[in-house]
Amino acid sequence: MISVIRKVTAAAVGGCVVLTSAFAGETVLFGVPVQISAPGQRSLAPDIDLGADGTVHVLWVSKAPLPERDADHAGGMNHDATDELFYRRSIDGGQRFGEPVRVNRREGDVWGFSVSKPELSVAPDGSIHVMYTSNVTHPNTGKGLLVARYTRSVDDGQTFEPARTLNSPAKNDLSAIMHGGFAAAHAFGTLTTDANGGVHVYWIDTRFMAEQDTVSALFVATSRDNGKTFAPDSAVYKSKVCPCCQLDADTRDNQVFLSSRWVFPEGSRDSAVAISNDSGRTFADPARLGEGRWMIEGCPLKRTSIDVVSEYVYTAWFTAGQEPAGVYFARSTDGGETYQESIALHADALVSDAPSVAALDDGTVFVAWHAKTGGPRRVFISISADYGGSFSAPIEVPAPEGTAAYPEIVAGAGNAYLAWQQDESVFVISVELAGAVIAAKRR
Amino acid sequence: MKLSHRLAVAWLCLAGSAAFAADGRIQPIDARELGEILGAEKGQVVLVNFWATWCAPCLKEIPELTELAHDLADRGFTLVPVSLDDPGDLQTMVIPFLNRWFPEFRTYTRLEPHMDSMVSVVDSAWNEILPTSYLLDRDGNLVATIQGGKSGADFAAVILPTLD
Repeated sequence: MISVIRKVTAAAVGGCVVLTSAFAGETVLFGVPVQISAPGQRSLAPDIDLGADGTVHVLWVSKAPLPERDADHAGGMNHDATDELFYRRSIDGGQRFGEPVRVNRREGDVWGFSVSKPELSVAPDGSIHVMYTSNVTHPNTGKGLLVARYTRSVDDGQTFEPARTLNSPAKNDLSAIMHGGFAAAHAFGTLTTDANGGVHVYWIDTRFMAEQDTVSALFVATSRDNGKTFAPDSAVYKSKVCPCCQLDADTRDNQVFLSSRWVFPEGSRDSAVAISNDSGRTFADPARLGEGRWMIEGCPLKRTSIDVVSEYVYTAWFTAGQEPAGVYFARSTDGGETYQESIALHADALVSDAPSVAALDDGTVFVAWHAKTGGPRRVFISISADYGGSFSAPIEVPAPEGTAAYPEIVAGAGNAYLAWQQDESVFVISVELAGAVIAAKRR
Repeated sequence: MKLSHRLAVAWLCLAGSAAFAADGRIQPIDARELGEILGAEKGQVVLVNFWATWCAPCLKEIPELTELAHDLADRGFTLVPVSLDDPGDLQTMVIPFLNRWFPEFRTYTRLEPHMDSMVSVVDSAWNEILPTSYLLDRDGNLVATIQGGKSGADFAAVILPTLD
């Protein structure tokens, strides 16, 4: 059992911000925050991953400039996207990053925002795989479509291949009711890679959606050759998931773990995790997380974050279906068959949201999220040293002043790295535990 | 009521509002301006409706909300719609969408980089769910928070008691 952090002090020591905590004698070492996006560039929605060699990979969206206030002088219908996707990498533990590389070859090809992020996954061989949504105009109907795009880099992030659309065309037309007049959406996706050359790309798909409901299908496209080719897409579930809650996924051996916000028969929209035991070919019905039932007919915009390490499945999500509303964590210690009672991570916050979970194989688990405790949104983390059995009190990340939100955390090789949206910039910081207990575990 | 009639109602309801620019059907505003707009509406019962083009339940609400606003206008009720679409999408997505589907709907749109900055004018603890509407009484006090897609009858059940 980890005791709650009682006192946190900060000091700059050798380029690090050191937060000394009283929990089990551990010391949380934050690196210096590094701004990844160019100054003055509207940037948001970061994702982060670690390569097997410790390289830190960061992806983010660069948004179109702010509009003129005289907004009525606009043209006609136009579904062209306007956003760009950028990538940078660090080979020195997140202290310095290489030059930014634009991922999308077609200018303005990206449609993304803080709760519908493009995602990247670094395969064991170091290849970099990216999934994003693109906003296009149908060549025949002139109606807008949101399509699922994929690209990869096999030269250490120097270049990315031309993006491919993975979804097959949808035949229905929901433009009267949906997503800014889009006829179909294949969006809010995620991807994950495995050690066998598998690239698993998932998205939420409206092709089976009826006009009177707001439940979507979940689709997959899978590559077995490291992203060189993909099998035709197919439905994992035809009508089960919330249309606007981004997916997350992870792999272990031949298993794929897929988290979504499931729409249950009684109408609740609760976080759930489904497992495939055949490398993503089929999935069983998912296990519901938490003890609450969140009855909401709307757009929660809430992802369920997942990380799988050996037999442990770690999850974090937002719910307003149990008290207090906010960010929760639950773990499975039996490979995802069952989940233990959920833990509220920031019960005294005004609001807490957008959690991201990552774990090391020594039992250290990091959860990051944003919360408001009286001022603007700030990023917090809690740390577990016992495989998610208990957590420290929330620790505010030493981000610059202002709004810090939408964190993404990744862990490996003894460290964690955190990316977040700082106002309209993207930052990264390293997080390390240097206490005796952790050090002994890692020996 | 047909959709076209509802939209005409929406226009009539909002056309006289001094809060909108004389020729500005779609008006981008920041958080400070939203606060000023709501401040100027004291004496009215106000429903602040946060919506977005990508939120299907939000779009379903618009016709019935605007019809309700028209019906209750002479009892001191004002609808203040605010789009939370990204400000960078205004020209390419929001305005074309409104031109096509709600050509007479008058709305504010956000200029703030974060949705939360806009909603925090009314509710600093917003949980980032859409649609979200806030009912303010004649003194500007928050009296109800309404989340998830609702019908006109649902809204009326909350609004009518505050008009008495």
